Amino acid sequence: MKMDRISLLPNSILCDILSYLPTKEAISTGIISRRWRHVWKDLQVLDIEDIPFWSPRGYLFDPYVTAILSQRSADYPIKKFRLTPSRSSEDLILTWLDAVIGPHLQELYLRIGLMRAIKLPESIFTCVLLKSLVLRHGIYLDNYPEFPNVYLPSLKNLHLDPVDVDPSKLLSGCPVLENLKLILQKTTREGSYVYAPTIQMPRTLKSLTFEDYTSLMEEINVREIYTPFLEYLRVRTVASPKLQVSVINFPNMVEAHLDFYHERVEHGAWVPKLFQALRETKLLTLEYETTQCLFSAPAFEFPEFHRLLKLEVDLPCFNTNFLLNFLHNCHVLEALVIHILRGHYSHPEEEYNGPTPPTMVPNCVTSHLKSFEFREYQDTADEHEFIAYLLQRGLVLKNLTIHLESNLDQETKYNIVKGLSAIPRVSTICQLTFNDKNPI
Amino acid sequence: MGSPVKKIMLCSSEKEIFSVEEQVMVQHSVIINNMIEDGSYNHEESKIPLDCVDSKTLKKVIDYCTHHTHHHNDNQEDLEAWDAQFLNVDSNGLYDLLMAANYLEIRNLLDLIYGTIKNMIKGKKIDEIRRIFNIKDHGFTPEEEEQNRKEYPHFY
Repeated sequence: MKMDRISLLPNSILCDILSYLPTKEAISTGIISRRWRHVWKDLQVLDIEDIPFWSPRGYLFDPYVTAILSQRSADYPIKKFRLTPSRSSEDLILTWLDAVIGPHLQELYLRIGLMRAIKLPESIFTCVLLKSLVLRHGIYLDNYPEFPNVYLPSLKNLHLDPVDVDPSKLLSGCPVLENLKLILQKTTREGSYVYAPTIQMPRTLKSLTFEDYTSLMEEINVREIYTPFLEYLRVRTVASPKLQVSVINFPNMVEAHLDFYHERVEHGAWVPKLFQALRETKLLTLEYETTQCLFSAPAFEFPEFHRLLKLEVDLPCFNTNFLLNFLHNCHVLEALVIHILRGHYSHPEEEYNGPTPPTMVPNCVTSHLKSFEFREYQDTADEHEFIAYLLQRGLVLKNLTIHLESNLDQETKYNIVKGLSAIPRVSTICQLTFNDKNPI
Repeated sequence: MGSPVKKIMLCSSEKEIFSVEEQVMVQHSVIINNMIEDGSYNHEESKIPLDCVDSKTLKKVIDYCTHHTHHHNDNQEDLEAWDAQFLNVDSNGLYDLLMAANYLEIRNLLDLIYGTIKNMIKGKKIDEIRRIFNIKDHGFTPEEEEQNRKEYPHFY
C-alpha cells in the first residue's frame, strides 16, 4: 500500500515539525500510526508544562517527566528544554536536569513553583553551546559557598527573574550576552539582604530589562550601564541616596521605559543624566515617579530628541509648561499619550520648576503630531486650553482621543463632549473620539 | 555604472536551467552559500544540479528567496500575508517545498513550512490528523489500536 507522504519524511524532519508543539502533544502523535510510534523519542526540543497534569488520579507530572526522559533516545541529546514543575521535589528536578544539561544544550527555561526552590547544578554555568538561560521563581543562586566559575561563551539571552545574589560573576562569564533581564531582589529567600555593591552591565548588551530593589542598603550601590549598542531599555528601581546609576550615550536606542521610585526627589539626581543619554530613542515611556523627578529636578533641561516618534508619559498633575517644553524638544514626534494620575500616590504633588516655554508652536505639533491621547481628562481650564491648542494648530492631526475621568457626572461629561467638539479643527482629517468607562 | 548583478545557475531534476541573482540564494541557502564561499562554484561553467527538486518547486523556492531578499524591510504583516499566499498550495506541493528547503538548507522557509504543518496537527484529535494527512493505514493491530483508544480516549 502506498504510504502517505508525511509518513515518508525522515525522522529528523518529523521531529523538527514536532519541536514546534508542546511535548505532551508531540508525544501523542505516537498513536497516529506505527510509523509515528517512536518518532517523538528523537525529539531534541522538549517543552513540558506542568498545568495540564492535575488529575483526579493524583499528581501525574513527576512520573510523566521521568518516563519521557527515560524512554527518549539517548542518541539525540537535548538541545532545548523548558520545564515548569510546580510541586516536584528538589531531588527529582535535579535528576531530570542531570539528564538534560550537557555540551549540546542550547536553551534552558526553568520555572519552579514558589513553594520549592532548588540549587542549580554548577555544570549549567559551563555549557559552551548554551544560547539562552531563563531562570524564574524558585531558583536560588545564593547558596553556593563561592559562586561557581562561569563560562558561557555562546550565551545571548539571560533572564534571572528574580535573582537574590550579586550577579557580577555570572555576568562576567558571558562575553557575547545581548539580551538581559535582571530582577534583583532586596532580600534572599532566608531574609538576609542581597549585597551587590557594583554591577557592570555587559558591554555587548542590546536589550536590558533591569529591576533593582537592593538600594535601601547602607552601602553605596553602583550600577554601570556602559552599553553602547543598547537598543531597548526598561528600568525600574528605587532611587535612594546610596544608589548611583551611571550611563554612557546610547546612540542605537529604539525603545526606553523608565520607572524610578524615589522617596525624596533629590535622590533621583541621576535621572536627568540618564534622560540625556537616551536622546536618540524612538519610543519613550515615563512612569509617574520618573516624571516627578523631572518636574522637580533643579535646572533640568530637556535634551533634544531628534528621533522620538512616540512618547507616553504619566503625570502627577496636568502642566502645560512641562508638556510644551518637552514638545519643543521632540522634533518629529508623531504620537503622544498622557495619563494624569491624580492622588494615586501618597507623597505630595511636586510643582513644575522648569522655565516658561517659548511662545512659538512646537515644530512637531504643526507638522508631525498625528495622534494624541489624553487619559483621565477632567476638563480643567488648562486641560481644555491644551486640547484647543492642539486642535487649532495640529495641521496633520488625525486622531485625538480623550478618556474622560471616571468620577465625572453625566452632565459634566455631556458638556465636555459638547464643548470640545465645537472647537474648530485646523486638520481636515482630525477625528475626535471620547471614551467613557462609565457611559451614559 | 555599477557592476552587473552576479548570477548563478541552478538545474532542476528535469534539467531545466534557472538563472538567479547570486546574492538572493547566498543569503537564504546555507548549501549554496557554502559552495560560493569555498570556491567550488565556478561562475564561468558551473551549474548547481538539484536532482531532487523539480522545476515547479525550484521556481517557487526562487520566488520565495527573491521576495524575502528584496522585501525584508516590509512590515511584518505584509510579509506574513505574502507567505500565507505563497504556501497556499496542495499537500504534495507543500512536501515538495519542504524537501527542497531541507535540501538547500533554507532556514526561514523551513520554519514557515514546519509552522504550517504544526498548525495542521495542533489541537487535533488523532482521527482528524489521520484524515488531514491521508493516513489510511495506521499499521497497528486491531488489539493495539483498541488498547490506545482505551488508554488515551481524549486523543481520539
